[in-house]
Amino acid sequence: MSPLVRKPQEKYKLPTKYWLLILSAICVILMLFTFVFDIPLRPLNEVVSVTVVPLQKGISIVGEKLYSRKEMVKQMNELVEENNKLMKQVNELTMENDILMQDKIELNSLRTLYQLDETYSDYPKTGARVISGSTGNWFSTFIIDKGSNDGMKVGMNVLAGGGLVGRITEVGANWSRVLSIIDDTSNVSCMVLTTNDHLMVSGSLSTMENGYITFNQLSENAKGVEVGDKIVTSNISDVYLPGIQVGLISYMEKDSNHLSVSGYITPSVNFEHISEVLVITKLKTELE
Amino acid sequence: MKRFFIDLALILVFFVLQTTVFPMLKISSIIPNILIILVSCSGFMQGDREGMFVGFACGFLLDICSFDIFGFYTILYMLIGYLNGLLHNFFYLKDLKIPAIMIISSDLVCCLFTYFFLFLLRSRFEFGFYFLNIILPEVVYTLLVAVIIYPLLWVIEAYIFKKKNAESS
Repeated sequence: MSPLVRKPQEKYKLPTKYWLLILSAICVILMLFTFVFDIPLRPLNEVVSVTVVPLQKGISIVGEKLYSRKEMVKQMNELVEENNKLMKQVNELTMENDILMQDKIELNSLRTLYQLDETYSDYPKTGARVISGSTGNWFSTFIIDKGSNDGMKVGMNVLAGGGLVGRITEVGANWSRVLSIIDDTSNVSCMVLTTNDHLMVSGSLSTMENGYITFNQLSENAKGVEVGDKIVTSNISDVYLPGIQVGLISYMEKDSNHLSVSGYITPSVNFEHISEVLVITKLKTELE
Repeated sequence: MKRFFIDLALILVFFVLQTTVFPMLKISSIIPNILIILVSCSGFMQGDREGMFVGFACGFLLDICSFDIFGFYTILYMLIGYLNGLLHNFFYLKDLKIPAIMIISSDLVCCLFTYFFLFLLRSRFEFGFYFLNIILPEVVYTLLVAVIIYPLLWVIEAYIFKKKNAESS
């Protein structure tokens, strides 16, 4: 029988070449669609909510338990020793604490007197667990276990250990994707805490090898900015809330155009071991 | 039908391992790309059609979880699966050289495309740096992991093949 004639009971299968063409066309259309219009693909996100996220949650919980058990055994002996030392210290510190408490009461009353600005500790926050690390070596994104069901929205700021981690770029029903500030595509508008000079902080894969992210566009006229100065998010950023700590300047150098200064920043968050993060549930656009 | 469910389970397991377990097993902050092992092996062992679909599914999950321009990894992994499938006829030669070369070249292609489209086009020109610090370690680490994973995939493939032969005869 000629190979072109199908047996009647055999089901017709579309040749692989055509499948490849059709699927490629779909991909290209989706790429153009997301690149040009920047519209999040909600229905597709739900695929991940149902399939992968429950598994990832399970594994991250088991992994955490195993890790803490291992640490517990290791630290048992150290803890006994440390306990004795600490008991002595507690006595000393109680004394000191009493004195400090008096100072604190005084400070509080002075603060209310001067009506100091709110710090970012006053933003409403919610905790979330990191359930999945980055998928490769090129980008620094991760997935947290809270999504639109818990009130997460695209653009919310993410903190850990008192410093800025990044912002939410994609939301599913029970997960969100966070783009961290060390990612090569991330840019954050920041300012120097002491002098209020504006600068742009960019993540960089090549300097992250040594633990730095880069900054640029600091005006050359900005006098008084020194290595070691604190960098916080600026009030002119359209996604990041003002006053969140980003890091410290660790190196700076005048650009060849003699108009601006650029250099390195050491981030205040240790990005190697993030297991829990805080999400600020207020968007910049909602602030008055 | 059975093959479909086994493939689906493999994709999910590999993806979850890639995103949860292997980030804990980083060697000098490099994660191996085990999804490319799965895509490459599926194409190589089962043919271009299966390789294409497995690549499509893996890239699809990666796209949702990692990158803003949706479809980049989908099309890349799908093509890699398809191209590996074209060499399906060399399977069952019982030597490990060809699959090793396939996995290495697949990972290399994947890395080079990522660098070219997502880094070079954003004027990150230091190719030497990226090649030595990211691409090369990733390829080597992936190959090391493949030495463990390939026999497992081979056993699964042999099992399905045996079942299918028993049914048809």
